[in-house]
Amino acid sequence: MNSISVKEIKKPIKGTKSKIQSFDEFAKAKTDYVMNVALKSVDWSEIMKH
Amino acid sequence: MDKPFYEFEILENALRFEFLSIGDKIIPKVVAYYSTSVENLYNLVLGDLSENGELDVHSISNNGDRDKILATVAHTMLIFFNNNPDAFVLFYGSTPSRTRLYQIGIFKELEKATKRFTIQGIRDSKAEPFEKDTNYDAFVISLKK
Repeated sequence: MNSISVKEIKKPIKGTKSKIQSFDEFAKAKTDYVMNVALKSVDWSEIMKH
Repeated sequence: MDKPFYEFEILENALRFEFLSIGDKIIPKVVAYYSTSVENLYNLVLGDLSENGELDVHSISNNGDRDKILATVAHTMLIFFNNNPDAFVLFYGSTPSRTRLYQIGIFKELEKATKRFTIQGIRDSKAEPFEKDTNYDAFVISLKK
C-alpha cells in the first residue's frame, strides 16, 4: 500500500514563499497570488458595479 | 448573527482583528482585510499567529471551534463595513475545501443580515449572484447601495 508522508500532505499554499513567515508577508503573498494568478482574468470593474 | 463568537481586538483602523481561539489549545488568530491593487477591493485573510508574530501557513488548527471562528470573522466584517461602506471584500480559500468552508460558515452567519449585503460568487473568472448550493472559486461581498 502506498503511504503519504506528512510532508506531502502539507504542500505549501500557492503564492507563499516559505513555511514560516510573518502574517503580513503571508497576507501580501496570498493577496498577490489571488489578484495576479488565481483571479487574474476577473473583470473587477464589472463586479464593483453591483 | 446569534451564534457564539470570540471577543476580538480591533487594530489598524479596523483592517486587522485579533482574537484567541480556545479549544483543545489556545491559538491567537488574525483576521485582516488586506488592500489590493484594485481600489476599494480588500482580500480577507485569516491565519494563526504564533507568539513571535509569525504564522505557520501550513497549520491546520483542528481546535474544535470552527463555527465560532467563522462567526467571529462574520462579526469583524460588520465592523469593517461600518468603517468602509464602499468596500468590496474578497474571500478566497487556500484550497477549494477551505473556500467551501468559508462559504458555509460565514454566510450562515450573514444570512440573517443578507438584506444589508450583496454577495457575488466568482466561477471561471465570471461573477454571478451568490447561490447557496453552488461551489465558487471565490466570493465578493459588499454593502447594498
